[in-house]
Amino acid sequence: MKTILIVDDAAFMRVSIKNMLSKHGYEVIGEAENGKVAIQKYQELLPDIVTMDITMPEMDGLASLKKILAINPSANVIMVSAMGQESMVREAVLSGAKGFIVKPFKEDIIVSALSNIQ
Amino acid sequence: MATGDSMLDTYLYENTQLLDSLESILLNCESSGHFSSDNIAEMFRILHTIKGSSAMMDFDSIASLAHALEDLFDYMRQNETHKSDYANINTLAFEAVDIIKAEMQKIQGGALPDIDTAPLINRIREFHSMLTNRGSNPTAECDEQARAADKDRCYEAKVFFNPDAKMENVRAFGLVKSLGGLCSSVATVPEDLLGELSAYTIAADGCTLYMASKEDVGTLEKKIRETFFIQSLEIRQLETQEAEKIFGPAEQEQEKAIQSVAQNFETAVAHRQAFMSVSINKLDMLMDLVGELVITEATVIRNPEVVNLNIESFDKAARQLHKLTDELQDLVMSIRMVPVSSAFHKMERILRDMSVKTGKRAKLVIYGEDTELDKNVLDHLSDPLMHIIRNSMDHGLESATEREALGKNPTGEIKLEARNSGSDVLITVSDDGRGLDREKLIDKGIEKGIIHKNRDEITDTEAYNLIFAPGFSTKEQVSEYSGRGVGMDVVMKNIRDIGGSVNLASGCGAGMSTTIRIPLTLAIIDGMLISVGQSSYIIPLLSIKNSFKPNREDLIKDPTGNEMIWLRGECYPIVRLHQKFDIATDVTNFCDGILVLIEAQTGAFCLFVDRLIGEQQIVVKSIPEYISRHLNTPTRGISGCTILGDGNISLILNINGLN
Repeated sequence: MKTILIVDDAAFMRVSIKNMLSKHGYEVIGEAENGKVAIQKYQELLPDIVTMDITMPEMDGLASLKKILAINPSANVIMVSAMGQESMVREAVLSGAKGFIVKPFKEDIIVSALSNIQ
Repeated sequence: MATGDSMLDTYLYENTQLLDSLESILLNCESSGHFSSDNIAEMFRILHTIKGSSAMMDFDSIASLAHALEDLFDYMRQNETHKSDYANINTLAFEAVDIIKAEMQKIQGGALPDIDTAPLINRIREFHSMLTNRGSNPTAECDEQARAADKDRCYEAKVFFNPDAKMENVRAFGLVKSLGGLCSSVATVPEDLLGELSAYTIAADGCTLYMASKEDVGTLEKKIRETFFIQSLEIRQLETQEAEKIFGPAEQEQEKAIQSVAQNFETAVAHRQAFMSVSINKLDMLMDLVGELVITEATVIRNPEVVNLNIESFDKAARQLHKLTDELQDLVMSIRMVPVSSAFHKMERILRDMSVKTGKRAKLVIYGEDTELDKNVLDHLSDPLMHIIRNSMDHGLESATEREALGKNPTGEIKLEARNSGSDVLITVSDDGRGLDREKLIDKGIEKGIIHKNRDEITDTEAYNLIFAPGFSTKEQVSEYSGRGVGMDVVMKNIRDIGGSVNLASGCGAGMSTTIRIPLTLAIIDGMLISVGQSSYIIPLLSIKNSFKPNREDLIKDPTGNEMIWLRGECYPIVRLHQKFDIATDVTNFCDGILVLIEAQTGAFCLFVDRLIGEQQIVVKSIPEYISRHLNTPTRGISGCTILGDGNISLILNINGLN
């Protein structure tokens, strides 16, 4: 069973994603509300997959992604973006994010994205 | 176009598109003097489809003709043909295209195809056997050995993303990046993945990737599928010939070569429909509804009882509504806008045919083909353009020998240009031939009794405009294409029908240019709302030069008693709108009302109205049939109607019918 770390500053999003993923056999082992906490939790829990929101206080998803990849170059990080954040998504992809999904999304989208990760 | 039989409609629609494609590719091949393998393959596929569909519809003569030509192109796919064969191939192919086009026209009109295609089929088959018997030497085919283990192989992949995934261009970007490790180069179509537009393009047509890699297809496929939301993937290895075209000789800087050839690849097969076809009826209904929506929105928002209430939440919602209707309106209007390129490129065939028939050499140069026009308007442009170009070829351009003697390039040049100018589009056709001979035109005009002025009083423009007079022609011989003198006045009428105007310019010996000015759209105009008595009317804003309250001293009467006014040294006739339309009003004294100086095609005049109310954007609706039917003469002076924001109806004035 794949383990997940959910990173998003909105509690609502964290709860939604947790609900969606739990139904499909993923185990949510941690949550973080900004990029800094995300790095701490990543080192602590070493999840299989990280869902990373882009806009967050303290440290945004892009910076957090880079730090996590510095720790583990093969980390599976999926960016969660809003429309209009094209350039940040591009940079994330160039830096090594495994992929991205766009808000708002339905359950099948996030599930499809995660299933792509081996 | 609908014949009522949907299968037949689909057959006609699809095959007409295919024929246009075929003709376009043929023209390309002819002018470049070369039949590329892609073009041959494309034409082969087109003929194959036409053959199949025509056979299904029992149009056997068309099917057999397509079949014969298909076989010829099949031969060309697999064998080399010589440059000396091209002329024959072109002639046979163009003839076949013409015949099939003509037959389709018949079918569209409800008749049956009846041309005897057997003679042409025989000629095609004879030519084909001649080629076969001659025995061509196969060129170096795709050589399996050339693909040595350490050489790059070339692949083409077509990818579609799940439509709900969004940001397709960024996904394609990510895909390209992920392939970087496995490929020495990757190119994409569309080439630009940065613009917002590319997301739409990729969503609709997918993303095509061209990759040079030492890996095998399975490895590449696996890598591509690692990217999220790939809905469909087709990948194939390219044959040496195709690959060479895309990736070019090894020395060239790979990236650049790929990008530019990938572009050419796309333009070469550009005519394959990349869009969805929609019934014109549905589009018209959509436009009507949006027009109604704009009016209704105004009715709601400007409702007198609501306007003064000052409710913030309502105002906010109203603004949002207005924003949305504006966007919707813009979008719907843009749907009907198509680039002029299709109409312009059709002229290449005309030019080619006229070249052959007149023996004069000419090339067509096109500028601004991306300029857009309402489809309806564009459809009405083709015939006038055709006629103007035929005239240029027939009368304007000199023969090659004459041109050389004059120091001109023996190949004449016909320039087709389109550009935007305010809310109009200007289409100019110009040639570098003889130009208009003012004296000759005046001679003819006097001979035909069309012009009565003194020779010196005739302006150049008036002389040139003589060619628009019915029955006018200075050419002694009547050729099949022009010279009967019926052409230019029909051209003028067609252009007037779409609300346009024509302007001629010429330098004697230096060619002539015809400029057509057409409004971008007829559906929505900027208007000035005016009132006379209890009624309101709309004057198209563009035709208003200015408006003013007249001075008593400037008002005069001409010898026949017509009222006129002096304005800045010029004298203009006055049209009393209340008199023209027999409206009851208290404002009959000029100094109590307003004079509006209007520029119409027939000349400038002043319209006398009660008052100006204000500028408005107007959705033009045509006069309903149940009204126009009861008038003995066409509604002079009224070109349409509209509903105002307060719910009242306003008639739109046709200024050309007032003076």
